[in-house]
Amino acid sequence: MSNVEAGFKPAAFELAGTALYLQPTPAGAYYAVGSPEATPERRLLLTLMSGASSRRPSLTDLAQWTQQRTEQDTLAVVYRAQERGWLEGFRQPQGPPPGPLEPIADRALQVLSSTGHGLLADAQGFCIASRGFDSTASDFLAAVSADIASMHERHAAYLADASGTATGAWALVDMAGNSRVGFWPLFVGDHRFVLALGGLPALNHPALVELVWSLTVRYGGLE
Amino acid sequence: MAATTGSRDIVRRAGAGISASENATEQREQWRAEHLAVPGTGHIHFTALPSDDDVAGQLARRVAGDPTDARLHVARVNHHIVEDEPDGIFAALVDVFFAFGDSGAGLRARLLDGARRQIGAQRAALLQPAVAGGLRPKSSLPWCPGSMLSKGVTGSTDIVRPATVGGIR
Repeated sequence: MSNVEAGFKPAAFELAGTALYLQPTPAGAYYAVGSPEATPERRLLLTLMSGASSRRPSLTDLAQWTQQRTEQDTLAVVYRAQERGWLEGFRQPQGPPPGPLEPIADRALQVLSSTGHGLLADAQGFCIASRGFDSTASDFLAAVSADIASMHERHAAYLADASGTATGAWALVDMAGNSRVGFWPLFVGDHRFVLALGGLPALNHPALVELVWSLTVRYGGLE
Repeated sequence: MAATTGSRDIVRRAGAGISASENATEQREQWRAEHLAVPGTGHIHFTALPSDDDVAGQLARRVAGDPTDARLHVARVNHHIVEDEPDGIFAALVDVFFAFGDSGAGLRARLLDGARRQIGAQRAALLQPAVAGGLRPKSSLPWCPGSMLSKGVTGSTDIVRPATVGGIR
């Protein structure tokens, strides 16, 4: 359990002075685009993915990105993101590979599913990239992805109450309730994508950061 | 309707009993499950539900769904030990270390010791320092395929610290 989840609230914070290049972890990348709701942590993570490579921010940068008024409020946001495993730093700048989105998505889809079955579709039901599914299944799942996302959007408020969770992800399940294909919405700027994965998802794989970062650079992560 | 334990032994070829080889296989599997498991944990069994997933997949999903069920974690580690799958053992152990926070030190120590030979010294050394306190969401590890509870942190998470006042944090 993290300090944040355990309810531990330090009175004051300070930068560790490690001068690292910051970027989201896979869990942070998923959190950043998992909902359209703007939070200080989400703003921070999306801003970190708005450039071609990771940055070494100053406290002023962090305050601007998180829209906090005081240094301590800013550091508290960064601390929460860090303790939840959403934010990490490296000695060298990192970023998604340059070039078109399709090969990046193609590589990511291969490793984000235990069976190598994955698909990225846009809100209109067009398949951006597909791996492991044949072309008919890809077209079908892309269309279904759009319908599911649209249906979820219409019923989001009620579903959150009824299911007790705010997740927007859907799944086709077997008799034991295990997902055969899962659908995860990704909200990037004004755009909505759906990531469909067969088998066991591996959303903690570093490839998710590359995929979300590439989408954010192209489609804008912040209003 | 009262629930009872059913039988699948409904139709059998005339004159054929349960073959000796089937019996032997079943007994061998039971022996392996009890004797190759981490000492003291071989009696913990997992009943797989009818599913398209194999047992490893079902255990992984169940652990993700209920991370604090220690019996599931033990069954998962033992399943991979009996199948001699070092990568699966390590992933299952990593999830044990993420699941219980400060508590569960005894369980972590027992499972790590029982699996040490199969996962190898290098991977055991990654977990050894966390036996006492477990891993936290921000804990950094090399990418671990198969882990369900890891956040995927591979870099440093020493970015912001609680401020020190007079040297006391």
